[in-house]
Amino acid sequence: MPANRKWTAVGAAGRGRKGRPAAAALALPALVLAGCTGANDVTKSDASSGGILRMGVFAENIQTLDPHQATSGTDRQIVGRIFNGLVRFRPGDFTAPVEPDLATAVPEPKTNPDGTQTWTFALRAGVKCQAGPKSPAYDLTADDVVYSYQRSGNADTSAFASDHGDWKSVTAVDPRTVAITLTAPSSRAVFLPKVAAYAGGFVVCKKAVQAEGDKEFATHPVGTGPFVMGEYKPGDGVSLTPNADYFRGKPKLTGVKFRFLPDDTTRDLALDSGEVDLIWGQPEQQWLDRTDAKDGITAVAFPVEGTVMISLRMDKPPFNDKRVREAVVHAIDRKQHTAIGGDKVATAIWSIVNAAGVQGGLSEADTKAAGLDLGYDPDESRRLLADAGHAHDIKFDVVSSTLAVYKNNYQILQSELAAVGITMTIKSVDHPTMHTLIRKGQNALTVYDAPRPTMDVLLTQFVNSASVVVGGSAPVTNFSFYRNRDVDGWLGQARAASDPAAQAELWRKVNRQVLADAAVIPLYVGANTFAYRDNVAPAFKLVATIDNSWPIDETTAFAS
Amino acid sequence: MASYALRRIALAIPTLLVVLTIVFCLVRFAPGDPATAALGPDASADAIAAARQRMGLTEPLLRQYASYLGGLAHGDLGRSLISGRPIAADLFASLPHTIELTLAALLIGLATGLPLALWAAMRRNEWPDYLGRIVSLVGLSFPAFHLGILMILLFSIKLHWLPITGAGAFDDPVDNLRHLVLPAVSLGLVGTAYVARVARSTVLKVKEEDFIRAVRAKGLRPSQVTYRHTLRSALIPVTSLLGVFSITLLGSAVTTELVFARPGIGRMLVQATLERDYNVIQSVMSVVAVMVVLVNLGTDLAYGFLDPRVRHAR
Amino acid sequence: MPDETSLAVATLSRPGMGPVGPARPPWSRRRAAVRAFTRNRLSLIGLGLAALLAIVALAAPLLAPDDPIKQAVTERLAAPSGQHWFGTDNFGRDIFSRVLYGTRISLLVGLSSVLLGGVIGSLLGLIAGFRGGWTERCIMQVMDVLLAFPDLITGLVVMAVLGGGLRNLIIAIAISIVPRFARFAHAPTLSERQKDYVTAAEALGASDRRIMLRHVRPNISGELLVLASLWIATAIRIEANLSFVGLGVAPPTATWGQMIRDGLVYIQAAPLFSLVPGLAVFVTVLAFNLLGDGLSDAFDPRRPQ
Repeated sequence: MPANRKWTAVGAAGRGRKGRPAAAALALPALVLAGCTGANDVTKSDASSGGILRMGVFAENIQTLDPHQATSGTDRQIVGRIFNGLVRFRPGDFTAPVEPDLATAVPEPKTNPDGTQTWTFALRAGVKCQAGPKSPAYDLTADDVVYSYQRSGNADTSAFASDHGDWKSVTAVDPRTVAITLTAPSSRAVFLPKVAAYAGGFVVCKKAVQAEGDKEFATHPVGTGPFVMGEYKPGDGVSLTPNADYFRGKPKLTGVKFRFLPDDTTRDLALDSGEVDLIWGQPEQQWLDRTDAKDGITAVAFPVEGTVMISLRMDKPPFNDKRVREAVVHAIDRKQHTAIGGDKVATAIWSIVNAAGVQGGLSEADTKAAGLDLGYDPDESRRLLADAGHAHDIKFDVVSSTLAVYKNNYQILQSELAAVGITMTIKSVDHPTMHTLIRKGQNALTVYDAPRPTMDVLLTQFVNSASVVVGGSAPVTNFSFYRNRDVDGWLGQARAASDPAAQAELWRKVNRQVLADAAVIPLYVGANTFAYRDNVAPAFKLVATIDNSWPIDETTAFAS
Repeated sequence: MASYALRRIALAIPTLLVVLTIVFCLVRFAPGDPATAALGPDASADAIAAARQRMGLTEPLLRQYASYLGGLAHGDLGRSLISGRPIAADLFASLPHTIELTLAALLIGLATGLPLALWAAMRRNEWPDYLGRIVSLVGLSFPAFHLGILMILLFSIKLHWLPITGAGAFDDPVDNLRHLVLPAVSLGLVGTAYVARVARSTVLKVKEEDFIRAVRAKGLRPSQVTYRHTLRSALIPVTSLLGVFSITLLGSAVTTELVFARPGIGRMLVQATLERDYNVIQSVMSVVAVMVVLVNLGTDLAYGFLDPRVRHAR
Repeated sequence: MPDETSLAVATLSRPGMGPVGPARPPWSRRRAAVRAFTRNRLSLIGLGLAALLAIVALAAPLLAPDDPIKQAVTERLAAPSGQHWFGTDNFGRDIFSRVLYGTRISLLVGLSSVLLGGVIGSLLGLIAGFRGGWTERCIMQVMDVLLAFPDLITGLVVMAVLGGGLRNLIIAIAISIVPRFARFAHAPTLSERQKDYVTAAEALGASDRRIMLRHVRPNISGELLVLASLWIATAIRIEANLSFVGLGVAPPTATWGQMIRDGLVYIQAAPLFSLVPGLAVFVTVLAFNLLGDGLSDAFDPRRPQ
C-alpha cells in the first residue's frame, strides 16, 4: 500500500536527521499518513517468526523481580522468564506430571534408616548463569542450587520460607549433584512443586546475588532462563533480551517487552491497535465475549486452579466471636460474586479447593452432609449478630487494590454486609501496596485470590499456624490468624501420606474443620483471562496455569 | 529594566524558600506517622522505631530540613518510602513528558484561542462573537479528562486512528507526536477557552481606548488599526497571563495523564498520594514549586519588559 | 479554572488596583445590576439550571426510581430500558438514580468549600488590608504562595496529607479557594483605607471591624458574589477530578467523578455509564459559570458584554 511505504520513509527521514525542526516540519503530513495506516505499527513488530513480543500487564510498576520475593501476578509473569527450577510444570498445563528443568531427571526419593527422606537431583551440564551487571556469565553448579534453596528457605530473604518447613538439609554432593533431605517422607505431589520453577523453587545465580546484594537484585535479577533482564523503565515497562546460551536453545523471539498498562481500557485498546500482542484481560464474561468477537484477536479463559476466598481475622474484634463470623458466612450470596465472571470464568466453591478439580475438596452436598450450613441466609445473619450483641454496631476498614478481582469482591461484600447491619469501609490503594499491607495484618477481613500448585501448599499457606502473617514462624498468607493444633497435625500427616486416598481424606478433614470454625470462607475458583493477536497463538495446550502467567519461552514465536 | 529584573529575581529566592518550607512542613506534620502507615498496626514498637530511624524521622527537625534543602540543591530527592528506589531518577525521567504535554496544550490554546478571540472581538455581537463565547464557556466547563475519554472513544475505539497508550520515545519525534496529539488536544481545549476569554475582553477594552479612536481619526484604515495597535496592546496581558495558564494546565495535565496512561509527574503524584509515599509527594511538590516560581518570575520579567508602567510602579 | 479573567484583566492581580466599578451608592448599583442581569438571556439560563440542580439535589430521594447503592450484580451493565433509563452499572445499580444522588455530593462540596474558603479568605484579606505592616506582608505572602500552585495539585497534596473522605475533600478544595478571596478582598480594602471618611471614623474611635463591615463590605459584595459563583463551578470540577483519581468519597456513595472512572473500563460495553455523569459535571459547571458571568456583566456594565 503506497501510504504505508511513504510513512515509513518519512519516519526514517525524521529519525535520521538530527534536530527537531526538520522532524517537526515533516511531522504533520506524516501524522496524517500514520493515522491512515491505522493499526500497523510497522517499526515495532515483525512479521517473521522472531520479533519482540509485547505483553500488556496490569501493573503500575513492578514490586520486585527477586524470584524469592515476587508475589504479585506481574512480577511472577516476568520472573518466570528469567529463572529455572530443578523441575518445571509443563507449559500451559501444570496438572500434568512435572518435567525435569535444571535436573536431568525427576528422581525417586530414598527413605533413610532414621526416617528422613532424601531426594537426589543430577544437574544438567552446560547450564550457564547469565551475565549480570556486576558478575560475568559462568557455569551453574550445585553450589548455586544449594545457595538458592537456603535463601528461599530463610524468612528474611524469602516470602516462601514456610514451604521449607519440613526440610532438614540441602547439600551439594558434588558440583553436579544436589541432595535435599526432608525430616519426614513427603509425596511427589507435595514435594516436587517446591523445587519447581515457581516461587521458592527458582534457582538464582549465587555470584550475581552476592555481587549485587539483595536490594539491587530486585531490579537486576540474574538467572539461567531463556530471557535476560534488560531495562526497567518505571511507569513504562520491563524489557527482556534473549539468552543466546539458554540450555534449551536460543529463543526464537528477539525480545520481550512487558508494558505497564494498569488501565483496563487502555490495555484493551493497545491490543486492538496492535501496540501490544498479548494482554491480561478482565475476569468478566462480557469482556471475553466482546474481545473474542474482534477480528484477529482471540480471548481465552485460562484456568488457574486457585481460589478466591475470604479470611476473617480471629484474634481480635469483631471477628473473634464465632457468631459474628458465621453471620458473615450467611450474608454472602455466591451467585452475586460469580455473576461478574460468568460461567467460563468463575465457579462457586464450598471448600478451599474446588472439589471438582482435586481430591480433598468438598462440594456443596458434602458440606451439607457434614452438617455445615454455609448458604445465603441474611435473616440468619441478623439473628446471629443480634445474639452476639452487635446488631448494628460493627464497623471496620479494609484496604483493597484496584485490581478487578479485589475491587469487585470487596464492593459486593460491602453491600452484602450492609444488608445485615455490618459497615465495612473500603480504602483503595494500588496493588503492590495492598499486598504489603494485608501481610501486616491490616485487614480484619481479607479477600485473597490464591493460585497454588497443590492442596497442601494452599492449605498450609492459609490455615497452618506457622503461616500466620504476623507472628507466625514462617509467615505466608494465614490472614485469619487461625491456630488449630489438630489442623496442623492433619496437614503434617497428609504431607507425608503415600496413599492418595488417605491423603485426600486428611485434607477433607482440614477443610471441614476450617469451615466449622468459619475461619476462611471460600467463594469461587476464578480463571484468568488473556487475549492475544492471532499471529501469536500459543503452541502449547491451554489447560491450567499456576500463577496467572502466560508461558513465554524459547519456543514462543510469531506465526510466519 | 535591569533594576526591575534584579528586584524580581531577588524576590523569587525567598519566595522559593517559603514554598519549599511549606512543603517540608506539610509532609512532616501530616496526621499519622509514615512509619506506622508503612508497617501496619501490628508492628512492634521496636520495628516502628527502627523504621523511623531508617526514614530519617528521628533526626532533629532542623537537620532534616537542612538535608532536605541540601539534597534538593544536588538533585538528590531521597528514596521512595514504598519501593526504596531513588526518586530523582524516576522523577526526571517522567518530568519531560509532563512538560511536553503542558507546552503542547498551551501552544494549541494560543494557536486556536488568539485568532478566535480576535475574530470574535472584531465582529462584535455577530455570530463569530457568539461562537467565541460559546467555545470559551464550553472549554472552561467541560472537564478535560472527560473530553479525553470522549476523544479516546471516537478516535481510538471507533476510528482506530491514533494510539492512546504511553508517550512514545523522545528520540522518535513522529511516534512521540502520535502519542501526544490526543492528550494535548483534549487539554488544549481548556487552554483555548482561557486564551480566547482573556484575549477577547482585552481586545474589546483596548478597542475603546481613546488612542485607537484617535488613530482612526487620523485616517488609518480599519485593518491597519486592528493589527498594529490593537493586537499589540492586547498581547500584553495575554503574555503576562501565559504563566498562569501554563501552571493551571499543569494541574489539569494530572488527570489527562491518567486517562491516557502517559508517564509523567502527575501520575507519580497520584500514585504517591494513594500509597501515602510522603517522600515522593514531597519531591514532586518541590519540583513543582521550583517550576512555579520560575514561571512566575518569567512572567513578571516578560510583563515588565512589555509594559513600562509596571517597571516603574511601586 | 475559574474565570477570573475578566477581573484579572481589570486588576491584573496586583495590589493597588481595585476592581473597576462606578462609584455609586451600593443600593442603586444593586438595582441596576438586577435589571442588567434579568435582561441577559444566558444569565437567566445559568440561574435556571443552578436552581434546577439544587432542586434535584434536595429532592433526589423523591426523584430517583431506585436505591442508588442497592446492587443486583446478576443484572449488571444492562442496556437502557423502561426500568433503567440509562441502564445499570457494573454492580447492577441504576445509573439514573446514581447520577441524581451524585448531584448532592457535587453541590454539597461545591457550596461548602466555597463558603468555607470564601469566608476565611475574605476575612484574611480584609485583615491584611486594614492592618497593614507585617501582618499584611505575612498574610499576603502566604496567599501568594498558595495562589501559585495549580488548584488540582494543591487538592491532591492536601488529600494525601489528610486522607480521603467528604470532609477532607471540602477542606482540600477550600484551601485552594482561600487565597483567591483573600487577594480579592485585600485590594479594595487598601483603597478604601486611604479614604478620608475612614480617617475621620478612626479619629472618632470607630473600631477597625466596624469600618470594614460597614463601608468596605458593601462595596465589594457584588463582585464577591461573582467570584463565589465562578468558584463553585471550579470547586465542582476539582471534586470530579479528585474523585476520578480515586481520592474522593469512598464507595458505595455515588459521585460523578467516581462513576466516570468506573465507567471508563466499560466504555465499549456500556458507554452511558461513563458519559452521563460526565455530562452532568459539564452541565453543572456550565450553569455556575453562566451565572457568574451574568453577575459579572450585570455588576459592571462598562465591561465589554
